[in-house]
Amino acid sequence: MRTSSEPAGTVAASAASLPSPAPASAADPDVVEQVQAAQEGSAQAFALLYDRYVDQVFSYVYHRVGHRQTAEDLVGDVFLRALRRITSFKWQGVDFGAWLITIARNRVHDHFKSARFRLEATVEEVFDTPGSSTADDPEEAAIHGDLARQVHEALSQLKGEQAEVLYLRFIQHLNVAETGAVMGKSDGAVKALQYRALKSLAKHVPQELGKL
Amino acid sequence: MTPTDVDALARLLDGDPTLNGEVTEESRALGRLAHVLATAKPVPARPEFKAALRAKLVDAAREQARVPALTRMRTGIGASTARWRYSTRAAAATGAAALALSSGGLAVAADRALPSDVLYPAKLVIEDVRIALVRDDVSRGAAHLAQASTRISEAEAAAGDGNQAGAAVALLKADEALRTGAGELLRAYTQRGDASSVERLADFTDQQRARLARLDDLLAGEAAEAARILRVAFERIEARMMSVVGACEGCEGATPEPRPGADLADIPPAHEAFEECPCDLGPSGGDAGTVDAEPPGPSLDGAPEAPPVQDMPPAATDTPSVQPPAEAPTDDPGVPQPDPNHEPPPLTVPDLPSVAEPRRSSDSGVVDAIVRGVLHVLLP
Repeated sequence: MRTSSEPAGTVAASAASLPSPAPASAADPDVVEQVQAAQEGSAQAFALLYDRYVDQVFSYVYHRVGHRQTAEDLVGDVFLRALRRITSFKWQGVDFGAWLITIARNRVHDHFKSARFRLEATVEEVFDTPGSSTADDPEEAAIHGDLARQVHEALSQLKGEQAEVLYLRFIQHLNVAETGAVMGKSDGAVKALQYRALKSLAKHVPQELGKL
Repeated sequence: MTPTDVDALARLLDGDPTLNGEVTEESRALGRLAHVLATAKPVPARPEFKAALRAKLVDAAREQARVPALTRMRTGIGASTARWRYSTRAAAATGAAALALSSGGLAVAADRALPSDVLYPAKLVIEDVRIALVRDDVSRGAAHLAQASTRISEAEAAAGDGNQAGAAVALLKADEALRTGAGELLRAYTQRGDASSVERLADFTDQQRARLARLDDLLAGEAAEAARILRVAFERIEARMMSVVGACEGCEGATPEPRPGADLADIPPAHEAFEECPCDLGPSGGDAGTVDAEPPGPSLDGAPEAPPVQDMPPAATDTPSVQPPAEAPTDDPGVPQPDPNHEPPPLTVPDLPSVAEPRRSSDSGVVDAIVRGVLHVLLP
């Protein structure tokens, strides 16, 4: 799972492929060391893990609930739960970031269940303003920004697992296996779900696809 | 949507360089959509929020690190832990010392802990220590029942959070506490004729069975199995209550006296055989009525399953396949019989002064003795 301090990754030669994901955090020796120290009681180590992942967790939660204050409250709960359960984390196919996202996912589900909260993303805030994409051409950036707005607006209309797999795969940049671990699904099920989810998403922005 | 389309899109999204003409235009369009999602820069959290939460987490982590002894004592508590094997001396001494030395802070914090929380082990230890200091059997029995009720509350909370593993742990602990408490109260009746103890037990089982029934819808997997085990305990307790008051359902109360050596206060766990009718049926009654045991199946705690036992009609001449308890009660009715089948073993607190009546650990002399016990256990 990428961290906010790492570069966005290069776009593959084909415009249809995703930016290359950063190496899984499970292989990052710093993360391994920090997790071990946190499990042994180091407050500083847990704080460093927090620094590394807070933006990703906040981004996921904010996309799901669409309200900043609510997202902040839930993110606080997520990290407190992670702290309480830090000794239960095992490196078994799920890296630490994906584990945090799993906790966040459960917390968001609880929030929706208890508050019957409907997902209404504030699209103007949820994604960045035009000009933040990797494109250098201002005109292309403006077009991309406008399309991004429409795509995210369409995303906010998806519900349930289809919205979730898109958040996890393409906004949180989890790979198929990590997404499957968070959602409790096999790799094949995740691939099928992401296909159906993208098709549902496309129904809301069909006329814009040709501009890319 | 065909499996080929799904797989081709997945490979495209992964940047598979071996893809050639296998990708449809539709899949390419879907890939472009995914690219738009992936390249939008997310809005980070507010710096003020991040700083405040960071400080809060550091404080919480430091507080959490201050109780290493108690957490180490309970390490290895897995999702399906059913038995707790620990040094009773260390548990009682350390837990009580924590009570004495924490000025109430730890005890208060632990009191709210739920299964999977870091302080949950401390909570259990503190409860065990408090009960160990209660001297009379009726009060002790009531305390164990209160423990069982607390465990059921924890299971309700865990199940409500979707924590099936935590609910399973709590329900299994409820089973232990319930059977222990029921045994104390049944013994109070059989040894001293204290009818109020059986009445208290009957009211408790009615209330808690209703709670368990309401909880059933939220349980699955190991938690559902733990609930079944707890229900078996309730059934056995009710059967035993009927037996002790002379209304045994196995022999329809024909002979209300129990057989010599039958321990009516013994409520075995679900995986062990249970003698539903422990009554003395006279010279022709070598068979002691129906013997009930759980059918073999997956065990949460790895304990060996009781072999299946066929029901025997009362008039049969076959000998019972389960031997009654061999130990006869001692002449001293106040001494509880050691039972190797009970888990965990009774708590003993070292170096306690004798107390005339049940009292809590607030007594400074008791606390001093416990602190001495802590030093004895923890210091090499």
